[in-house]
Amino acid sequence: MKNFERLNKNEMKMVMGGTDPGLGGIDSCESECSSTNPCKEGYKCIKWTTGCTVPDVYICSKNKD
Amino acid sequence: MKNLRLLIMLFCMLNFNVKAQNLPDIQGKSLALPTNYKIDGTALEWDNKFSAFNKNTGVKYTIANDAKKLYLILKAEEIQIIEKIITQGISFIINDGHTKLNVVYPVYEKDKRPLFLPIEKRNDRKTSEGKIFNDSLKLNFNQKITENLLKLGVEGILSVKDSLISIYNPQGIRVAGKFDDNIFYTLEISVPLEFLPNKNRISYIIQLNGVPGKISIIETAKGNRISYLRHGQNWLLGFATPENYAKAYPSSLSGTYTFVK
Repeated sequence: MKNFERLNKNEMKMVMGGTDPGLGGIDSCESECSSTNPCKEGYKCIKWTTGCTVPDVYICSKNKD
Repeated sequence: MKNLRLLIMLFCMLNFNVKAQNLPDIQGKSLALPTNYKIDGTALEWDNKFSAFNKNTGVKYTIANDAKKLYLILKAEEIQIIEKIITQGISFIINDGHTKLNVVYPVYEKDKRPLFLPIEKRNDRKTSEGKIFNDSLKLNFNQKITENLLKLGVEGILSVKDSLISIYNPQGIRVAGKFDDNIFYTLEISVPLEFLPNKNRISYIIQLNGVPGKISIIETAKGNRISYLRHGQNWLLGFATPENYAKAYPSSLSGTYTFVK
């Protein structure tokens, strides 16, 4: 039977890539704002730590408390 | 707050009601540990059968004992439940009337990030490709567990000064968790009976721990999200959905167990 060691690079990417883990598969691991992509009025671009592969995600948020 | 708890309970009931599988919610009988048992993260010595399926926590479990050990095996099938166990740990709290022990696994050191695994990629193994894919996931996840989940927490044992100890500890507390072919997760814990002076009867709590810090609801441009504080950092759990609320807060079951002599 084909096992993990036998998967080629693309198959490996399919196993571990794609939807990033860490937010229960429900949320997105992509930042929603940056210095060049500011938030709409009333929101600040705030850094949050997540379980994503890139742990810091920037989200347009109102507060942290 | 009342509405929130009601929502979480409703979510749990809807999710697990169809899976009652005629098992009791709480284990009612005592069981002798098979002589061939191994703490290896599989339920092979039990023919993959369990004594109870608890709807509140979403886990199947069995407690058993022999002359030397108290033993717990539990199995989680739902993605959210497995994630909750692996990222936040379970607490097995045992009270024999004299001593209260708490074994927590896994526990992450301050500088370690919880292990996040893309469990949602699993499939139902109906095709040969699906089987190959799951086999790959299983090997990869189990390797990550072997490499990363190396600590457990212990409270209530005088000889253990540091509550965080290696899974390879001299006290003889053994733990092992593994994924199977269906990417379901099985966890086994055994505790030497020498730590429980009263070897007649115990009360126990099995708790799927919540997030380790204060929970906040954050208003974001795309909707409310759940955040929590972990070692001084603001972590984001995800959108404020019933599934994520259930993951954020602890869930537990409790019962009593009389030792098999």
